Amino acid sequence: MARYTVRRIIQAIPILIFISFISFFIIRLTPGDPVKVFITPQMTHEQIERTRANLGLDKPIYVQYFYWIKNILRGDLGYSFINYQPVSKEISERFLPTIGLMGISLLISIILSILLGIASAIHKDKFIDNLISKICYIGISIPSFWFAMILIYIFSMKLKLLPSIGMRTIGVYSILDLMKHGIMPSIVLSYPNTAILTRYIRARLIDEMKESYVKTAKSKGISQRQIFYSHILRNSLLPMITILGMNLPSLVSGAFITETIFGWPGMGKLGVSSIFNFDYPVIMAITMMSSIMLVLGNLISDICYSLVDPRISL
Amino acid sequence: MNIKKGLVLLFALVLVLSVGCSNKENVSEKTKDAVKKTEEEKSEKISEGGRIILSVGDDPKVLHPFYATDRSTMTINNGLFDPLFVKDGEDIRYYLAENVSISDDNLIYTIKLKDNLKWHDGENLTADDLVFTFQKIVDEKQNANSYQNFIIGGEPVKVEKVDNLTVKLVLNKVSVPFLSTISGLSPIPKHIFEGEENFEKSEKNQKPIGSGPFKIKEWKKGESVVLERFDDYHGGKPHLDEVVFRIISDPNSEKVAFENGEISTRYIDFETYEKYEKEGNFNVFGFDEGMLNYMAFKLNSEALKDKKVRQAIAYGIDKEELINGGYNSTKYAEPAYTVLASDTLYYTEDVEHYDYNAEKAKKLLKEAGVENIKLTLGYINGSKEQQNQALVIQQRLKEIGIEIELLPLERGAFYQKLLDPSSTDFDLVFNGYVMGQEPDSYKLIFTKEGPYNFAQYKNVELDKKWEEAAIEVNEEKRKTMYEEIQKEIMDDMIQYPICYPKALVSVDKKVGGVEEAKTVPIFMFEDLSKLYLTE
Repeated sequence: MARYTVRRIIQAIPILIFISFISFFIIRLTPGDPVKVFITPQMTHEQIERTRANLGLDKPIYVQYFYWIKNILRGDLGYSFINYQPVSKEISERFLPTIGLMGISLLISIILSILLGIASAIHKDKFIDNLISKICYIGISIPSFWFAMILIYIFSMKLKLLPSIGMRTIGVYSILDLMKHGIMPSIVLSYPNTAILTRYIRARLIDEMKESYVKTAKSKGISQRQIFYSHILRNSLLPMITILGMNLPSLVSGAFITETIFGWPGMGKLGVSSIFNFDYPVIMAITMMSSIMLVLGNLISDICYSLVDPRISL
Repeated sequence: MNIKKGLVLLFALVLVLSVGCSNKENVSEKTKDAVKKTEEEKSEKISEGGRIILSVGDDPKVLHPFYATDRSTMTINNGLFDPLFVKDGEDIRYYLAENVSISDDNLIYTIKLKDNLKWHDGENLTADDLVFTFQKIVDEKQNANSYQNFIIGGEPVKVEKVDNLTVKLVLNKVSVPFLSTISGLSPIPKHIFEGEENFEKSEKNQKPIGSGPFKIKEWKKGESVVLERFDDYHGGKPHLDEVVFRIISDPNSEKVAFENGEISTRYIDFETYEKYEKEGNFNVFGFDEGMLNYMAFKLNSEALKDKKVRQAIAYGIDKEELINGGYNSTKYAEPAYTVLASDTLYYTEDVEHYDYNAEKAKKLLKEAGVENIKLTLGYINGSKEQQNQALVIQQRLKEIGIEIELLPLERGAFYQKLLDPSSTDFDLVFNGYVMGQEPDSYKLIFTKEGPYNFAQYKNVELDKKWEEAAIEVNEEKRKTMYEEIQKEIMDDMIQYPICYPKALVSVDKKVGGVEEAKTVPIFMFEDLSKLYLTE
């Protein structure tokens, strides 16, 4: 296992370097100039060029990349072009709000999708299954910004039950207030995920129920309930590990649209703001964190697989 | 105001031009009604304390007066740092300065500070701070935005301390716009920044020490910046306990938050202005932002090199129709006839107006010997107003035989092409600017070396006149020079002025003191200490 893990980590290094290379060049090839953010009419050409040099943008792109990767290897993510604060500090300030929001949303998705998936599979083609399926189709197809605005309209504007913006009320420091602010963003984030996972679990359960070992178990007189919960469900939920592994990057990269609409001070909002301001070091840091989490997520899910399913050996 | 002036193009670059023009019963008059309402509200009791929440689109960047370039940073800085004074046309409103005097030879500016000034940490604000500020602005290493404004005649402006409250600035050459340069300048605390190598990157900007009516309490990145009352403020204790700047980047979310009572003010468009005004749930205000919306001609376009073709295009456009096309109404801005904003010194309408005249346009095209011209009009794709106006122009110019292809571009791509002198992707372009009240700042757009000479206009004689006007101390002569400049630019028709849009804001009914706080461009309120909540 240890050897396998080490091997996978070593294999991931060229992948990450490749991702960083592609991302670095694509970001720099997008139209726009970070120096533009600092220009004022009074500035002379020399001042503008000095600003460019201060940001390290006066060198050829490949040299910039070389310096960037050198610093990254030393654990230095660089400084934000916008406020000159260390990128690591900028990210650490946004990390908790995002982890909290995304983590809760993922948890809601997992719990709800298992419950709904089971209900749907057990009552296949009946009213409950049809109802859940319709709810899922809406969840899969609804645009998140639109869904967010609908929720805000109903719960904030009409019913006045929930705040529409931010992570807390100014001057209020309570868990209840935090929860009230988090309800709508969590719903918006978890709904599409829940819908996809529910459909997946339903399909897996239905397929699994047709397997020959189910018939064998039945013929041996094992109760329907025991077969379902001890065998079918366990086997059906195994691939969920992969799906969850794939979801890991979103825990750190946040949700660009949802965080922006709800003014949630997380990584997603930071990402949007960085893109609009051409803040290359921050964009690169978020991109790389997501990539590392994706690679890690895959690795963790493979390891978990081998732990819970003895048929798979690494 | 210097910073305001500094905002200028940046503002034009960062914002899409918006809001349209004309009709005499305009928003400023309606604002007077709103002000009357505010006066009525004054009879209501002021509730001392409390907080108002303003929204800004993004986190402030560097909370230091030397480096503010965007609206969020400038707005928050305005609460934290007081300027020396604000020059508003002929009027001067003093803040930190007691008075400013200019020597007879226009080479020495003497600034006397008020004697009760304190920094937010309780230290006295004195001439030493002011001397330090000026010294650091001209220190090339610090890369202050206004550095160039303090280099006059190739030399940095010299600063001398006269006494504990008085500072003398010595110029080696007359510069009439210099008073505007120091207007709006905010001193920085010497005891905080002395010895600091790079002000722009200083950690001290995270918790700035200022001199304004509010001091920083908390800055939660991505969420809010909370300012609390500065009890030792020289202008008297501010009414509010706190002013909060909530970071809301999505306009729809901002609208909901405002209507839900989660924020106290916001900028609005004309449709929302009319809605709020009709419903009466919120107070609405409109004021001149000093902004000009225009269509520029790119002179590297072969077809536009001939002045007659440019003039023909100008005559071929119906300005009122164009404004109506963008905004459905002509209530929210005045039509523009010259390249200066209407609040600029020496603004004149005594120029060729280019009133719609299709026959004249056709005749000019004939004289130019051109036919079947195809031109491309570039603009930012997110602007509904520009899209509509582009369609109006396309339709009108078709009537005089000019085919217009529309090129809406993503913001980043648009500005890249606009700033690139070699770009030939479009021949005509919609843009806008806020250049401040000093006409000298406009030379950045219309002189050969001007960094924002998008049109690539070259007029050696006029370039000379811009330079001469900047040092002309005789008021009448200077006025004549700037009027001649305007006439010549309009005659050359390198830029078709469209309108002066109004900035429109809505304010929660519970917020009072709007008139005293004075609605101004960029910051929304010039003096936050005057705002209060009503009981």
